[in-house]
Amino acid sequence: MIVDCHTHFVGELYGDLGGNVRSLVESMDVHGIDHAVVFTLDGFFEESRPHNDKLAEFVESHPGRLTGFATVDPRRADAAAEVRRAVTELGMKGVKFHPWLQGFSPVEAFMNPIAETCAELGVPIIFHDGTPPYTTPLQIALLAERHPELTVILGHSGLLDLWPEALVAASRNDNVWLCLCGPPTAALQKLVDAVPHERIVFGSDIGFGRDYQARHRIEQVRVLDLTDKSCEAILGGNAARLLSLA
Amino acid sequence: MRIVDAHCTIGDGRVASLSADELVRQLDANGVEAAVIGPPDRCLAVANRDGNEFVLDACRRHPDRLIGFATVNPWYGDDAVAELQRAAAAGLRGLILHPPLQGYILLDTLVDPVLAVAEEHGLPVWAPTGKPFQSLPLQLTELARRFPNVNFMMGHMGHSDFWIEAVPAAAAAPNIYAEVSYKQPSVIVDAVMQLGPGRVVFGSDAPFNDLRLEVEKFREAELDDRARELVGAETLLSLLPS
Repeated sequence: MIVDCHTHFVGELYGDLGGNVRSLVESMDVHGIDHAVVFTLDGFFEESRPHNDKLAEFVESHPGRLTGFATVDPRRADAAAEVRRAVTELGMKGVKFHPWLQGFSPVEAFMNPIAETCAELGVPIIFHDGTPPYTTPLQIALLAERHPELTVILGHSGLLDLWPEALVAASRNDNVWLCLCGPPTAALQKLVDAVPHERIVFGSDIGFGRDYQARHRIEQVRVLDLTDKSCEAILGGNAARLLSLA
Repeated sequence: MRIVDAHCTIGDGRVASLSADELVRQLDANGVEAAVIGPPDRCLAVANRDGNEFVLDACRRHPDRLIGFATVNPWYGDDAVAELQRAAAAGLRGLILHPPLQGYILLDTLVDPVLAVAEEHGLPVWAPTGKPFQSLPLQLTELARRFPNVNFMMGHMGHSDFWIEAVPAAAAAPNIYAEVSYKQPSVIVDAVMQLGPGRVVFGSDAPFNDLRLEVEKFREAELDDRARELVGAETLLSLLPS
């Protein structure tokens, strides 16, 4: 079973990269992905509530294939309430933040009530990570340290330049998970050598642009020096456990 | 399709290691005609002469398959200039600058004496881009404007999060060529459409990336035959001194 923890729902504002010939679920079928976690894009730029609704509708139109993660503008006073609504009323199972798109740092105080709400509801927060000024793994890990009951996922495991931060953050903090999605293969090997495998998931970043990178990123995990059991856990089993997928 | 890889590293590095012989075996296995090679991180940072000799030795053993690029850390001043003169005379055919490992910002005038040597010998210059804040696409553009007679390869095309400005930055100076390691097929096709097929070169960044997966990814990019030839091999070969 392959569970892809990093995909995008292309809306109207944030267009695709061109050449996108398949829907998300068609891409999943082509590349053998059983289930995907999907995020809004437009919701990062506009009021998030209607975009959470739109994403929930999309998820519901593909029963059993997709899990939606909400987003909120964390500066707003009603941010934690919107997280609660998205989880309890829309069936979302997590929250996605892209701090450099949304213009905040993960360490800012307004993140605390959101983190507390997610911890109480038992849903993770996944972050875009890997680049300064506002998406470094250690910034995100500081939020995780403040909220030990919260599960935080580094959505790119540090990308090309900051994966050494992701390695340290996930090695030290039991509530920091890695989503393998972006670092070079040699860095992925260093990450899986250092971080407990039960806290590592996989993501493709598909949803805009050609879906080829789903194949590329699945292969990047398959070529790692891992036991079959760990490889299967990273490609699907861990995410299924985290998201309580049937 | 002919493929010549614009950027590989040989030797023992902090993150990955690859011998020249193993690289040639991988080139064979993936239908790659030849590859540009540079020395590993320690040699980029400090032991430049060791690295250049190591690369030269690999090229002597695989003269038809490996194209050696030199490196010098411009902080060594006159010694860096002398070492690049020596390496070029000995047969190395390009220059790698690595601001994060070598300790400066890409557009610093510290690099000017070294680039003057590159200009004198017709050496193309490869630098990683997308490394905040020392080595970014628009910093390469400034350098390319300062040295209009030197050809520059925009390593990794701004990857990670600076890919958005890579094409505009390359378009702003005619002597920049986008090197597309890490970039997905859609982005490669977009770069070819916007910059023209003669301004984009294939590179793998092996062994940090898996050579097989980078080659398979490049073959997936929907380019016409002429663009494939140019991006795959011809443009890079045309940049090399004879």
